[in-house]
Amino acid sequence: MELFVQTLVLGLLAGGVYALVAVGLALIFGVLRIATFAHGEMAMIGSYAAFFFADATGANFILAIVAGTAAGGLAGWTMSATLLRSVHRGTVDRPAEYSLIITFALSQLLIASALNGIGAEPRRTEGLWSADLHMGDWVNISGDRIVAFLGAAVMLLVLVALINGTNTGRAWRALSDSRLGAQVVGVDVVRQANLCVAVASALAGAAGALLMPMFTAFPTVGNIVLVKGFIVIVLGGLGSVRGAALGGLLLGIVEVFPSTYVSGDFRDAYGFALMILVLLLFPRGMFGARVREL
Amino acid sequence: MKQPLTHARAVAGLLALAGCIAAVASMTARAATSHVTVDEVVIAHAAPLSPPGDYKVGREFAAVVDLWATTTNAAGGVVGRKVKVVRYDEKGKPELAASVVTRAIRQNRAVLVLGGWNSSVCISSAEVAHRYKVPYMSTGCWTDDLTAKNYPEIFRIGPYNSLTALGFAPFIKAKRWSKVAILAENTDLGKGLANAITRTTKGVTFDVTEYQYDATDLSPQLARIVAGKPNALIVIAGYTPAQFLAITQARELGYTGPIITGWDYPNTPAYWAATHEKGVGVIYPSFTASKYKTTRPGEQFKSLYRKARKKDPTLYEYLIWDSLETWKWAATKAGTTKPSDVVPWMAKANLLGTLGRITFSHKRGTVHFNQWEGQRVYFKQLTAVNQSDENAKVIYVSGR
Repeated sequence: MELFVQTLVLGLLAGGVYALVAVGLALIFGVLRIATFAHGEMAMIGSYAAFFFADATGANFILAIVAGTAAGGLAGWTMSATLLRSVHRGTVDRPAEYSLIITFALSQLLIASALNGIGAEPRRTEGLWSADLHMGDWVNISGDRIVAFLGAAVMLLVLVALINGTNTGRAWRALSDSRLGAQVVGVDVVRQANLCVAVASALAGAAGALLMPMFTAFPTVGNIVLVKGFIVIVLGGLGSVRGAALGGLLLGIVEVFPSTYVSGDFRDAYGFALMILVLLLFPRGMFGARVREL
Repeated sequence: MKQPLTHARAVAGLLALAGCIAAVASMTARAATSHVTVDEVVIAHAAPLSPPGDYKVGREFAAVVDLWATTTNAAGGVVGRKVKVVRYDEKGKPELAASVVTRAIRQNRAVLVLGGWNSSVCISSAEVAHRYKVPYMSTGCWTDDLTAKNYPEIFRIGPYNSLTALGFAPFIKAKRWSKVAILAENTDLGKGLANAITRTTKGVTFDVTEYQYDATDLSPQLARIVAGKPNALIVIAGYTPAQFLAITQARELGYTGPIITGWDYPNTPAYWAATHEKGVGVIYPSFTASKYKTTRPGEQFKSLYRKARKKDPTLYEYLIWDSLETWKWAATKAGTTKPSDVVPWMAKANLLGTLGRITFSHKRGTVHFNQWEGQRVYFKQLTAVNQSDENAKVIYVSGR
């Protein structure tokens, strides 16, 4: 029973972070109908930014998370305003394919740059709550894991508030419904698209920063983020922010339980197996409103 | 109306192309393509230099090979010829390794192939080297299979599973551990050594758990291990980020018993950067110990390395140096770098290496063939944060 509780806690905490990683992808897909392969590298940038900021200044880790979030957001804005500009302006024939290809190239460039510029060593600083929490045999967990989960929850709530309670959110929802309609009512599509990608990338950067004290920063950390993110948004339904949040929690649980009780050798495979099952039973994902071509 | 090509798209396309070129340039073959002159001799270094290979290790090793080449050339080269290193990125993939070793031998005319970190990579590379009868030297692959076929061109100056497991057995016995958990990566190294340890250590109950070698979260596996309350936890990993995670996450999950993990990686700054205070108390096996002096060549290498890299070499870096020195010794004895003449002399190697005398065993029909067996296993314990290898406490010595 103790192991079950411990596993459940581990699964939920992992799922919270998966949700944060995935919700940015879901946001971009939901609003702009494109997917970006460089999303994981935004997390990598956030992770390194938090590390270097904390290491250089010795500042409170909350500021390091802010630095990671800002770095991810800035990188996302830059990517959107340069590489994806023609997509936002509607001047490419196949925006989905174009986005995948160009962001894949960017992803490889960023990994190679990190590898050559920063080096291959994993980097880590102390997090906000580096002490471990021990409750007998029931729950043993690091404070950083709890911080990551709470941080993810707070950011998701902020995102929901942004989408539902601001003009920016209304513009995104309009874009999501109809690009042409949004333009007709005066939405600056390029600006809002850039903002959307920047916010999604900032969330990835925040996830990278929150994870860095536990899992370290290294050049290929984004690969894991991207794979988990795509599984989660497929589970939750492409473009559904709520689905991404719930899909993240589900993936965390589904990965952790078999890894504990069956074999840890196939951890990633459990997520893919679940994804296949969900696609068979719910082709639009569990919370997806509609299916988009990719 | 859609425009077939806009300025922005052209710029974006160029950026993408530049990205691809940069990525490919840094992540794939790094072989020198310049002509080789008659005064030069080519040796090939095939290593994992980019993902999914363990590029961190590959790059460290590359620096040692370059240091050796520079030092050797400054001293006049090998049999009067300058050494030229061609380097290939095998990315930890056996099929790519076979391809690049073929290119190294056929196109670059390499007379020695050095490399291998993943056991499967070594096996595929060795097959190619054997086909072309070019000497192949490995330091980092532990699989017994490498020398099991008794190919005359395949040599290993480095540990291998059967012998290493024999180092663990007396240590576990001396500690009187009756229940030991092994967390092993799902590679040839992890599976092979876990199997060898459980096979050679009698009277101990082992619980072996495997994990995906590049995992970023080992807490589910460790939760089950910790619930089993083992006397000790052995972590077998060649991919260091996961190895370091295993330590921090085992402690996070409340495991307070001994953790044994190798090999030598606790002797790196990256270890302390990743583990901080959770790295204290960890026991790591090593083939070197500062209180047991390295040889004169070992001191010379350490001095050169420190000057060039501002840190101490790890075990494998000593072994790479020894591998290259052994080939140089054999070429000097043969008076030529021609592989067919050098290989017989390599088999008869007898020189002072960095850690001891280099000779090879020749027990035909066994894995103990063309294998250096001079290592002892020192189990060391880290007793303070940021402790260096030199100050780690040697708690047990086993081996020959």
